[in-house]
Amino acid sequence: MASVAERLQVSPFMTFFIIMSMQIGIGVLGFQRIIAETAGHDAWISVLLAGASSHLILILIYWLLQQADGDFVLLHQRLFGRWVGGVLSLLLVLYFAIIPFVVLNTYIEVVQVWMFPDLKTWEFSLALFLLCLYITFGGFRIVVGICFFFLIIPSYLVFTFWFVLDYSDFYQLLPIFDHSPSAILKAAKQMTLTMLGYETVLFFYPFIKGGKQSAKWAHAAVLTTTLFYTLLTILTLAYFSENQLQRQIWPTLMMWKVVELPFIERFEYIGIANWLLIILPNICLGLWCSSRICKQLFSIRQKMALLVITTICFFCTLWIDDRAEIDFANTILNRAGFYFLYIWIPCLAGITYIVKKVRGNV
Amino acid sequence: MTAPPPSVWTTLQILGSSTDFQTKVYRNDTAGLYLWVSYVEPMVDMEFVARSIFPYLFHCPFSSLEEIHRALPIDDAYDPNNVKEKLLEGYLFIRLHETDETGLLVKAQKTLERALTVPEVEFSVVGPKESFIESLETNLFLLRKRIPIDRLTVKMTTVGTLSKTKVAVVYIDGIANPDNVQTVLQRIEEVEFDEIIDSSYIVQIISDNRHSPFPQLLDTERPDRVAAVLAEGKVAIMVDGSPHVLIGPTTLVEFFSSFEDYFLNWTVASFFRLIRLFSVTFSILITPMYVATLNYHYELIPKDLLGTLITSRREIPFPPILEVLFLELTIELLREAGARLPTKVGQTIGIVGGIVIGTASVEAGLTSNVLLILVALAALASFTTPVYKIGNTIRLMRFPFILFAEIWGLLGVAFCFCIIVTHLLYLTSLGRPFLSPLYPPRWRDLKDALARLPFTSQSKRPETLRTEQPIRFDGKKAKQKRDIDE
Amino acid sequence: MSMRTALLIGVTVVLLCGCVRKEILDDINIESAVGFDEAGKEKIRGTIVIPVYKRGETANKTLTTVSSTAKDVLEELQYKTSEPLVSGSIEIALYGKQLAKQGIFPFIDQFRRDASIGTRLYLAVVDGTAKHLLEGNYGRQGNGIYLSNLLKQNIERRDLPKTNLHLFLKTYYADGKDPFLPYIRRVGEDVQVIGVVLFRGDRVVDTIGQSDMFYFKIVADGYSEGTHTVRLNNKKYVSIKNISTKRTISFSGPKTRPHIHVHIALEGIVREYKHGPFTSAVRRSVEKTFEQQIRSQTEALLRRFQEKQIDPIGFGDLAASRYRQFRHRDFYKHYSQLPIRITADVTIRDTGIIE
Repeated sequence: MASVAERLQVSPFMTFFIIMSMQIGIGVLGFQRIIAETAGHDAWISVLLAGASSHLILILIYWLLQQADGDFVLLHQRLFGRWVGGVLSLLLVLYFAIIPFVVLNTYIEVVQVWMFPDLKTWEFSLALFLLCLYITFGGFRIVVGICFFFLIIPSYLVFTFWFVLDYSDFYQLLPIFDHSPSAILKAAKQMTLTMLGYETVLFFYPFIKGGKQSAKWAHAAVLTTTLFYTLLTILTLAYFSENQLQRQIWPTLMMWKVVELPFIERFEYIGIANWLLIILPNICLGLWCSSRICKQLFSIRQKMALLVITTICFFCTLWIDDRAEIDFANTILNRAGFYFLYIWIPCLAGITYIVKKVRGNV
Repeated sequence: MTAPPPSVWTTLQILGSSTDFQTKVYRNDTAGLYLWVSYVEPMVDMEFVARSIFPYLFHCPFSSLEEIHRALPIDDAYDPNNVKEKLLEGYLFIRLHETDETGLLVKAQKTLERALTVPEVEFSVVGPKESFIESLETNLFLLRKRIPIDRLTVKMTTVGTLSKTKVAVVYIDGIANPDNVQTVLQRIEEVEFDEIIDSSYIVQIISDNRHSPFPQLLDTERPDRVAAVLAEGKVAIMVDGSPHVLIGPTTLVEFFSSFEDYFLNWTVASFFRLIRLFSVTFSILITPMYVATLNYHYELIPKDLLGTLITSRREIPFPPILEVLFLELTIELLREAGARLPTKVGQTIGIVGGIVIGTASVEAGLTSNVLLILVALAALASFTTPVYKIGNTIRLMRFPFILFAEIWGLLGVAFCFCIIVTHLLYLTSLGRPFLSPLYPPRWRDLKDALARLPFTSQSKRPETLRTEQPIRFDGKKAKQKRDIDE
Repeated sequence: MSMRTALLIGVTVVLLCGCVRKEILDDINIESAVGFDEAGKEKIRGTIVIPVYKRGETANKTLTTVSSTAKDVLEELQYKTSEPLVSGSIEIALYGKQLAKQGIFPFIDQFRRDASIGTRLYLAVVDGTAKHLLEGNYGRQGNGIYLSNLLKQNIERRDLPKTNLHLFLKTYYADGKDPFLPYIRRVGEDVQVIGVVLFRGDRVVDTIGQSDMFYFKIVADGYSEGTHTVRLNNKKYVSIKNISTKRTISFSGPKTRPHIHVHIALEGIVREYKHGPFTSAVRRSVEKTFEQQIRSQTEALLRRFQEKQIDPIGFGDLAASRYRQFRHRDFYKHYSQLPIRITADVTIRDTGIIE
């Protein structure tokens, strides 16, 4: 049982912020195009479906956490033995370690296309990873603080979508359910990458005071994210015509181009700068989770694991930096997330249930 | 080799090498005794001694020191260390024979202190205008008369090997959390320093994070403020010789609240607080935004403003960053110079510097008038902070922002903001999180953070302090409502 | 300590090497308007306007060059300036009528791909050449701002339907709608809006004159403000100011050949009537005449669209939102024969301050 000293724990209310800030990352900038390609103007239904399924998986996750006493790595070991369980957990380390550099690379790409074409990847990446090290070295409480602030401060961006209404035609969303259910489901599957984030609860659960109470906050977070994404999808579908949407790589950024405040003309620059605040928790949580699993697997100091993982991520941002490779990494992440959440977790739950029946406890 | 045991004789020998240490012999005719009186002359109030002490000593009949001891309020003098301390504080040491190791210590200190004045740094238009002075006794008097209860506990210690400064830790027993008190006492015990001049020395030594530019203990010169926060459950540290009293644990939002907020109506007070927060944000961000926008993001500027900015910058030979640094440094120069100059000259220089240099540099084409206005406003805005120390920090913080804005424009500003937020998250004040009640969010404490809600809704003490008695007064009774025409 | 020194080195490295290319405000030439004309076979003439800021009025400087593609044109203009040209602040882009007839998509595409250009950019077609128009001197804040304000206030207060780069692209890519743009002309030292040009794809095929703009805006945008003069039978004129206009489009029948019904409801107040008291009898007759006019004019307009096989109102898209499994191709096969019925309902509310 991985128990954590009480002074290092945070209140269950924070679960809301951790999960929501992990879910909202770089996917938000461009997910609409992908799901609209499959499900057309019914894509918002796919978002709702993806959200609903996330709730179900979250319930399974909490049940598993109850069975495992909060220690997921130990669960793997107990069910599959030390070596196979270790390999499974190692896969998770890789999963969480891919997130930082995929997120960062995508962000740097956005910055290079939209703001500074001659921004050198390596130096921004270096600065950012140094900052993330500074954050993660402070421990989980500081990471949660970052999640909290950098969800609340950029939340004003939601109001900027008001300006989009002037140029939106909501009749473009009609008729509802004009696409086949299989298309809508397929789009829901594509949506999972953007909804990823709540799986981190498997690893920070011991850090929450009164673990079980956090379930309601976790569900609240997933619900809010789902609603937010749905609204954004609806707005996007009304703002762009279908074919036009297909030609936008980052529809959300394009929507910001039309925002005009009395003292600021081109809002997308401020949006992109604020986006740094939104992706920072993603990177830090990814680093923290993967180093924490490393600590539990290999019994090394978490600081050491952090340094190693961060250095590897940094070099990855240098080598994997053209559009095709980043897309490939994104796809891998999407697939990995999907299999982990929608295939592995239910299987694991099933296995745990059976083992529990047979053995009496895990 | 061990040090020789302390003895009064050695003390008197060492002190005797100073010319201002006197040992005199007097004879009490009535009792037929000789009295050896030793004292350090500058510390003793000779007038008081001659008027009150000597007449008794030299004319009353007594046969031993014990008798005098029973009659007068006098200290024991059995401990040689005590003798040394008290002699240096201005006590008279009276013995019957020259070689006696014990005697009597009579308090005869000179008390020369500043009169009670209005607070200089935290002046308030309404409300009490008393301020602390350098003497610890008077300060304790000012405090005790505002909290005349028995549970107001004062614990005294001495710090500083050379200065032997008296430090008093004050708290209300039963309200303040014992952990906080213990932390403070322990840290003060552990202070290793030779000359402690002021409470700010103590702050710098016992702070949780010494390397941070953000102050972690609040300092104030108002007794009413100290009384109010003691009632909330905080701990106060008073240092002899310093008119500034330290309060802890504190949070970032407290540095932006002026005590005057509590004397005004809550709507007015909340409005002023919000203005203060806004002006601080403005002060930090406006010059970096100028640098970022002019260097990289001309598209952000509204068209009508574009013409003004371009014409204002047309003749300037420097890039925006140099312009900004030049003006910022000029303002800092003016401020420093104004602080050092004597009052009469200072005012003239201020006017000369501010108006003449400003106008002249615009005319000469060294800076643009738009930037001059922005920098002046920013400097003004940074002075709205009620606590002097955080004002300095804010002025300092502007420079990293400017630097990052120069490198990466708006992205740099966002990046620097992340760094500052992370740094603030690390800070603790006496072990309690510095960013409370924002993070960890304490909803009850928010009532007095960014806005000030009326007193009737603040019936509980702040959560961050984890006080022993969270309820201040009966909230329900305070809010009793009546129906119409009842 | 080693952690700290590593940090320090990292920070220093970042700070020193970190600079990106600057575009300092007064060291650049900010383009405020661009224009494209055709210049002979396969050649394009590009013109840009750069505001020259002075205390008081802003002057204009135009640069022009001829090249073979749109992108080249703007790049070649860099040869003619001492300070780099930047296009992030372009307010309006103009296209000469001849060029617009041949297709303007390459030019629009260039804007679409440039991340520094905002989508509120106005586009317009010029009756004449863009170069000639841009070389004038209008307004006190420079040509770019003058032209964009001209279009803006006509959209907000008069009969020009909403349009900008984003809306143009939206309708261009939409299967069930065709784009349109304002039509302007230089008249002496002023620029006037003289109508709306209609596109099929990216080529101009028709224009709507000033008299029809009012009706077009009601049907296209769904609302309108501004004044309209109704001519009564007996040579009398009434000036009506619209308060609100609403149009409803409904479809009935099979999705390949639907019946389209356009209903326009208009509320207005009388602004000027010189021929005696405005009694309720007069009012009713004005209302009736106005309704009649709306019907006939709009019908004529829509029939014109059907004949030319263009759909600026967007009936195709609207139908797609009413029918399931809608195919635009089937709809447009019979587009020119679709029956369109127009009904109007005018209500005159007040009679102004006096009777």
